[in-house]
Amino acid sequence: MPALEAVQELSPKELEERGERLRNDGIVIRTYDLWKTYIMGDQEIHAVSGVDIEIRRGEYVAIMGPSGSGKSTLMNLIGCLDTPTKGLYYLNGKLASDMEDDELARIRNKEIGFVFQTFNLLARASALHNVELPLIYAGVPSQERAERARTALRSVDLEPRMHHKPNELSGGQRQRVAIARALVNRPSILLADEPTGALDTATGKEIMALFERLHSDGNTIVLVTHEPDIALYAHRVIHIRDGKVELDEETPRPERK
Amino acid sequence: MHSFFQDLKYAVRTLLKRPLFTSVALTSLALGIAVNATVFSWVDRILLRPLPGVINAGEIVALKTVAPNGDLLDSSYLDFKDFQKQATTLSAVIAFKQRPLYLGDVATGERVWSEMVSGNFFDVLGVRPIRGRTFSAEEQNSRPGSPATAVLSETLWRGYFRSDPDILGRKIELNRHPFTVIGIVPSAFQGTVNGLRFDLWVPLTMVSELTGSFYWPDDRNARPLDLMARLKPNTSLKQAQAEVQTIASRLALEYPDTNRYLSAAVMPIADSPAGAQRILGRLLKVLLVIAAAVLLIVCANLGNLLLVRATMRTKEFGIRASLGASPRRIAQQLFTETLVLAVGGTALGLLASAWMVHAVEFFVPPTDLPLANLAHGFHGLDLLFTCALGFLAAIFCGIAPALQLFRHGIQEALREGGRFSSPAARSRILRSGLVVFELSLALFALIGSGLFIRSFQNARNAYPGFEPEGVLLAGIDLSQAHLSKPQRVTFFQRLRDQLTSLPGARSASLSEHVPLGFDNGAWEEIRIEGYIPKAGENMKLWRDIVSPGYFATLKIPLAAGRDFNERDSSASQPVAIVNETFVKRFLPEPPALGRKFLLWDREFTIIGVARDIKYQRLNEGPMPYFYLPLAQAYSSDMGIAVEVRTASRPDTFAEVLRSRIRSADPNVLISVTIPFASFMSASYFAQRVGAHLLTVLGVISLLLAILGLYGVMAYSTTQRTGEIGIRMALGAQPAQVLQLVMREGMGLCLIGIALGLIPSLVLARLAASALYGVGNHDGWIYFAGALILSAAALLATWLPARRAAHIEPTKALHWE
Repeated sequence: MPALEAVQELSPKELEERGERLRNDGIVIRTYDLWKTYIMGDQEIHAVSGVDIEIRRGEYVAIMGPSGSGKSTLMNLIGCLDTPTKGLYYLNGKLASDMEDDELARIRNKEIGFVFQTFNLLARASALHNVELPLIYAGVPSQERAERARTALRSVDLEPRMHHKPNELSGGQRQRVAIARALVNRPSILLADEPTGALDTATGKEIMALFERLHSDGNTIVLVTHEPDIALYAHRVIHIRDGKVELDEETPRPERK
Repeated sequence: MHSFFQDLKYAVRTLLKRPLFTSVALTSLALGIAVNATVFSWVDRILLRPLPGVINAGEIVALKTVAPNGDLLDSSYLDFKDFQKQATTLSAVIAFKQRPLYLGDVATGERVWSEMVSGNFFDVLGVRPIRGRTFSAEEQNSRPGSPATAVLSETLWRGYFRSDPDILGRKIELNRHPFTVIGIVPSAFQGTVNGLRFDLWVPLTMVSELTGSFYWPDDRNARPLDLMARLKPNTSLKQAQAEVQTIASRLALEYPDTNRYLSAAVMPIADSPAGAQRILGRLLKVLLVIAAAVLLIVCANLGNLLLVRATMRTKEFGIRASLGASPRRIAQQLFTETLVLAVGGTALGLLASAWMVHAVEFFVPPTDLPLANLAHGFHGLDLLFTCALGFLAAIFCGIAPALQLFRHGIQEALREGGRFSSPAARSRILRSGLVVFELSLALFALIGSGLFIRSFQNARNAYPGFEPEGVLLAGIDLSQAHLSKPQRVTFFQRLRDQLTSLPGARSASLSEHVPLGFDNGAWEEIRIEGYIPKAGENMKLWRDIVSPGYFATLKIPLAAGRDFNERDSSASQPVAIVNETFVKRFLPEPPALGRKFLLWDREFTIIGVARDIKYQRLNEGPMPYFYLPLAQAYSSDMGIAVEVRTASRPDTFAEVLRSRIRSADPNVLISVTIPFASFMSASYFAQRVGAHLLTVLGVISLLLAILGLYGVMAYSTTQRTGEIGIRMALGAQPAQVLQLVMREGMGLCLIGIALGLIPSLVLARLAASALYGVGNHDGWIYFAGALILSAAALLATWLPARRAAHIEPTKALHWE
């Protein structure tokens, strides 16, 4: 990896060219000395301190760490939900760390598919409409939108329940709707934050099996978890502690449950 | 009872803990109650208790002579006597006529508005003197020449006579004639013309002594008297109506020369054409409706606030429920809090109202009429009304949260108290409904004010057929001048000549009546040569008596013929000028000039045709009208107005005019000097009051409704923070979030507008008679109302929408 100093000295054009190169090299996520610092009173809290990571297209990576380790903050930065205090972040060749709100929104829409622990579905909308939502913000015409949403639901075996509202679905079904929604815009990465946290063990396994299938279909998956069992489903685990990368290792294969 | 006091203590404590919520709630409630209490106090004074100080005033009715065309006219003294004698459904009838009298001598005297009354006046009205007595049985049957007695108001006694303890039996001078004071009536009694206040009462039979006129009470054709009657117990208005019609028919047969085609009618005082209710009645009803709308907006707002609080307190209610409190018990607690707010709001509202009732005084145009104080303070009924409003407001406001509690249950609230909970979603629908209700009422109030603003503009800019700008008016009273009738006529001529020759005066004239004042003028029954009236046709036409130069001074164009001149004297052939409608209606075959009509047994020849003007009201239709020359038709009991067209601003000419009149005869009293344009504002008094007060109510409604919309949108946005976070995570841009929230707010606004248009159209129809020149072509008022509401709603929605659009997605996703 090139040193941050070297990257920081690059002109905008060179930064753009570097992004281009990263993309051509199949690197979807690349951070250089990424920091997120919060000010609490007169104290500076470094939630993320100088993280350098690289994730390639098609990888299945888990970001793991105990509570308060900074993994959620890192996920927010990777998911473009937040901007770093310092450092550079390339997502699919684009310099996301320099983007304005509107550009970040576009990036989230096009490049990232989120799966949350608590599903985060719109309570008053049907499964179909929930899945259509990213397509609405992408400006997809309604007919195509409905068709693609239906296809996404079919891919998670939920087409028959597409007109149901979240409160008419089980926890596993809700999470599958959320996964369909994350997939519908064909994002560069699927970012899952504790996707089994709100599910029972059996349902959790079902969901992880689904991720496994999605990965084998060629999707890039980043899983954020504090559970080692879940992290083992990934092919690579990045251990975070105190805002820093403690360990970046391949998971032993085929030991997945 | 114990639990109530417990709840009361807890409610006060809870409200004190939330000073912002409590002050917003109390202020808006106080405002709504103050507005309603104020308007109701005016309604009470003008429409419900038009005769303060009168015992069982509900039994008193107005008795009017009815012209064949339905016009309600005053009556003659002899007709009064006949009604008094023959009516069995009426316990008694009274007669009265108002005019100013001069108390004391000219130099130091006081002009006192008085009523010349029938002897039974006080007995019938049930007004008891605080000192002395009212008219005795002997005085009640008095004829000319009987002892001259006077009754004073408490106000006059305390003011002018400085509470003189020896006032009874004291001789006072009224229009230079000695009268003996026999009693003082309480200040609560103000006389019998609604909206006016009189301070002195003398027997009607003293009319000749006081005015120098002939004794018209003996003339059945002289109809200057207002009549009122007291219904007998258990007699309906309908029965009395039937009887007075029968009596009028009998009189028409018995006295065909004077009473043919005339009928009679009784009506509640609130419907009588004499008094403030004629001008303000319809407007007050509109104000009452709009004020009610303001209170409903306040209640909806407060209901919304309480609903939000109740939603936020579901956890607290759940804990209470788990400790054994029933939904009923918790609803009682909620209701007690609302009741405390209502009591506080009512008390504050009453305080504010005591100040607000004076608002109407700002709009009273300059006039020499003795206008009564409409800000009369609060009476039992007003207080009862206000307290009832407060109580109803409490029920209305408290019902929404209590309803929610009962419908969804506390356990459910506790169970689902988190985000996206179903009770929250249900209460959102209720809150949105309340806001739609508020917005529709605000549009209703805005359109109401728009209609009256337009009406006021129309009235103020209306061309009345003459040019009031640049004319100064003065009222003069010759009752103190020692002048015979011919001398008075000569005095008028001399005064006019002197005024015309004054530097700065362009022309001058004198007349009995002035158009577009509070006073309608006088009418006469005439017979027109060559015109055969249709059966029942009203030939009683309004008229004025004017000097030469009147048309030139007021710039009333003459369509044909000539103006009066100095040669039109009592010795010459009687002449008249008629208006165009007179010609169209009675003399359609030209020429009109030279034609004659019969009046007072004299034949008047038409020498000119004047263009129509507005005589009594700006919204009156064309009416036949005629003018007679002052020199030929003057009567000693007439009041006279002087009109001077000036080169400069008329008000700067007032002192010159006054000194010139005084120098012409120091005994001639000047009642008032006022620019015609100001005087004329009486003709659009109701429009002016309406425009101003309704604008205030419209603005209040708008602000409250917008505050309500803002509150709901702000709360709803907060509630939807999580949802907004999800949308942002999925790629919604700030502009799209802004659009999402604004679409919701503006959707509510549009529904409110659609619903508000319906009552607004009904209001326009009901208020049509109080509006001037407002019609179908004024659809823009509705559009403007909707536009103003939309613009304000846009702002109210934009603020929370903007906040939502700038929420950080990470915070929004983790919002609880």
